[in-house]
Amino acid sequence: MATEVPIVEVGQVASSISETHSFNKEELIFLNTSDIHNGGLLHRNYSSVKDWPGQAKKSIRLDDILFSEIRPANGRWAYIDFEANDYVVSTKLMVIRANKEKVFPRYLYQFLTSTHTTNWLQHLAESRSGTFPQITFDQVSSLEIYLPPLPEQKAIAHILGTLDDKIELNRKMNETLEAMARALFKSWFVDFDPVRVKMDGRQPAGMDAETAKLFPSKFVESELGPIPEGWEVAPLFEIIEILSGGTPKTSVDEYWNGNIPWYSVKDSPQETDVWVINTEKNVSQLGIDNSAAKILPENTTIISARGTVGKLALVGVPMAMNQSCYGIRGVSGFDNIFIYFLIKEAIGDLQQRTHGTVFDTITRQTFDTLNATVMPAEITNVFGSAAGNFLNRIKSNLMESRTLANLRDTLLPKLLSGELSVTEAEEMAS
Amino acid sequence: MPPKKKTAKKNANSTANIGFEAKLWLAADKLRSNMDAAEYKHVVLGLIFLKYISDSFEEMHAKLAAGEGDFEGADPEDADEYKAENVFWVPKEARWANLQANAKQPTIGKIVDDAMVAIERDNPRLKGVLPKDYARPALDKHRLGELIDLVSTIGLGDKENRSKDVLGRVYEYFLSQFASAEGKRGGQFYTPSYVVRLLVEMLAPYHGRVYDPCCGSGGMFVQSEKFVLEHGGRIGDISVYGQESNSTTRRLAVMNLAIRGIEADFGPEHADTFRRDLHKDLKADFVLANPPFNDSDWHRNEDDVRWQFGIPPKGNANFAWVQHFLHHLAPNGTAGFVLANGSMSSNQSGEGEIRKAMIEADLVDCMVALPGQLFYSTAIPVCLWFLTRNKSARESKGGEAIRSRHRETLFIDARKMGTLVDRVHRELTEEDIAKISDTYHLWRWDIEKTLEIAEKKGIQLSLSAPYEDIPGFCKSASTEEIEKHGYVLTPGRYVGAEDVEDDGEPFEEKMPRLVTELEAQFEESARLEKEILRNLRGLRYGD
Repeated sequence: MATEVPIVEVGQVASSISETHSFNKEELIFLNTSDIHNGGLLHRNYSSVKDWPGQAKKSIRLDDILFSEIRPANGRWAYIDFEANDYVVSTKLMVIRANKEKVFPRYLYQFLTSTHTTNWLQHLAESRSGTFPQITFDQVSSLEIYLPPLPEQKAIAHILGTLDDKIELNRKMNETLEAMARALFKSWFVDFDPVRVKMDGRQPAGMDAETAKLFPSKFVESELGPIPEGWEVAPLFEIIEILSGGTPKTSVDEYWNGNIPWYSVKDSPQETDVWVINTEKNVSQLGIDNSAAKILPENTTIISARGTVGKLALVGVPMAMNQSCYGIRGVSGFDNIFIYFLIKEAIGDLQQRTHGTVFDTITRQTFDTLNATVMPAEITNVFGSAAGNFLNRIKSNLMESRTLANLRDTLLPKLLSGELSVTEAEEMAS
Repeated sequence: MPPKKKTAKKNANSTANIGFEAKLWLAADKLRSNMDAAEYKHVVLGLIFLKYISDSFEEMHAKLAAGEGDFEGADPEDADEYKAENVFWVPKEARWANLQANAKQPTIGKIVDDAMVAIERDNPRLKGVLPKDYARPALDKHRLGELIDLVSTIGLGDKENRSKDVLGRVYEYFLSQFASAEGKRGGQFYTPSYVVRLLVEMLAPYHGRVYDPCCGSGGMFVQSEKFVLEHGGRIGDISVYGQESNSTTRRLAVMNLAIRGIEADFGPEHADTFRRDLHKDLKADFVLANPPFNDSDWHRNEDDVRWQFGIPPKGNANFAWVQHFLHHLAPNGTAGFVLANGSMSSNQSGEGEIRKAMIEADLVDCMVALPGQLFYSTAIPVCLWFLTRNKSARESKGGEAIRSRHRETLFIDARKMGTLVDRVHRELTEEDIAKISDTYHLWRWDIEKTLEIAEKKGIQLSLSAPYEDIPGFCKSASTEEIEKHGYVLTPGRYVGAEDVEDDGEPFEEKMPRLVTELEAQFEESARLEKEILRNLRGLRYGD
């Protein structure tokens, strides 16, 4: 059903729905603005209806788009791709329902959540006089949307959707990979599973005979409880070196916007992404030469030490960092991936030892007081190559996701404006 | 008698009364209009005090007039009869009924002042304590009359309500509300009651001399007396010694204790503890205090006998206070006090050396790190210190068997406790207080012997499991360990990290599960990769 002029206002093809839920069960799922993010739901937990706040009201259904009225650029949106009878959403969320005869819902969703649209809505929200940067459906309704025939919409949504799906899948895959590496660390160095198994006269599973040989088959007592024979409790600083960072003078332009990433705690990755591969700010070699900042090699563990204490990142590409962090590397042959997990394990302890009266901080002295179970360096190298397999895949996923996001952001405005026409559209969407 | 938990009953009680006290406060605060809280405080608290002594006088008066039993033939208008019963004599013109009758007169300010003067004249203990500034023009006489009517309603009604304690509680509640209303300055005369309660529950002052050399409005003493009463003791089991440098704050303290029927020795007048120690020869069994945090402007005399562990720095009085407390501690005495967190770790201007000397002298019994935002006066986090002169095994006045703790110190990290009551204030709950103080008592006790004593006395002990270190919360550390940490006393260093909850899934099961998941993700990934490439080719990109 093609129209003469393919540009219409959103209000002509979609409406804001405000139906009160029937509250037919004692327990239902409540979604507030903070419970949705970048397309997905952050929880699906049932809770008791009688404890809910007054704004828990609206019902939703399959193919609805949820969109926060407050701070529209903050990613508080979701696409409902399931039957949602048990869901109740906040009155602060717009429930946008597409007229499916005119617009393909996922196409509308791609349009509403594109950077171009959300930036404009954010601008409108901030121009409003009120406490919160807020929009209403009226403003959404008057947005102009390019509306090619439905099959073409479907194809465009599919092109963009697969990119989104792959990014999301990479995130999930990283969760799995990180869990595997962590489980391996815990098994070898916290629970000492291989030692226990050998003590029973069996061969440890999941490792070759060569590796199994590296583990003793007996425990000895130590101040941290029983540890494998031949291992010892020693100060952490015997197996690590600590590197510090710096900030090139901000007044000198030549020091900045170079090609060397410069890390600050804002850049810390999601826990299961492990690596940091790019940063908000970049410095130049000249900036490095004229400041305390140094270039950290790959596989250095960065820990934030002031303000937000204990955020970890593993250096994925050579980069510098600011002075609120420490870089940690293994010495005497201790593997750097191993060191990353060792620090991760010790982080709770480190946070407890924070020093200072108003702000919590970690200092070099904090590390001096930490003890660790220390084993022959060789074992840590074997661990490093095993866990490194998982971690390297995480890194390549991150790089791929970065490319995918780039691709999406490049294609999206062209596709949503009709500038780039979708040939073989129907075939693609089939 | 060892500490018993009374939380359940007490809680029910205090919640029930909050409504009444809060309502009263709201009414009184309304009449404050635009007067400064700091100024209004004296107006209101003075009236509550007047009502209190008048009420207890009337009660006694009624007994004497009835003339039954011991009081046969007594003269209700003889001041000596009251003195004998430790009740303040209130001359006719100062009795509450007289004030209430004249509440609507324009001269009411003068009438109140005269009443205060008359009471001070006939009761030397109160000399110079009562506010006598009600006639000043700035005080709206109409509002004053309404305030008198409001105060008249306190303690009315059934007999139980008429008990003196209601006025005591109102006085205390108002003190805390004024402290909150005055904000930063409020911290000078008031320590939040949950902090005081924690100190008292830890020190357990059953019997002996209790001393606070910076006593503010006297909250430490009121709670100590409450503790004694709750544990079956009597008023008078402890004797109270205080000093306060601010004259108006000192008056609040005198009234606060008088209204509770507690006799206290505050010295002859207000005075600065460092310039002029009013209780020079006192050796106290318990020191409880909340000295000013990091006071930088204090009077230092370099060769003071009190500086036994080193001369405290000019710019910070923390260790001057600590050494003052120690100086006044009896051979078996214990001290518990509040200090800013810096005191546990600072190494500036010789503070580290003083701390080290005290640790090596085996004086530090227990350290508690408290959560932030507990105080009205400051948001900085604070800690509690507990010092003792004697770590040998002995039996306490309360009948606990205390074990020998030589060269041992208990560290408690309570930073995660407390409940936010509003955006900027946190309170410790009864459960928090019990958890911290129970930990300390269990650590100090010889549990077997304490249980034995309790059984012999027929007391039900709520604690029976022996003390254990709990990662992230408490740790018993040796002086050698403290030395290893450079004589820093921050509990976080010793208690370590909380045990992280394990998902409990054994490695042998977890790995295959994750591998299956990963395989599915790889498959999906391959499918998506193909699809993306096909899509892009559709747009005429790629081969």
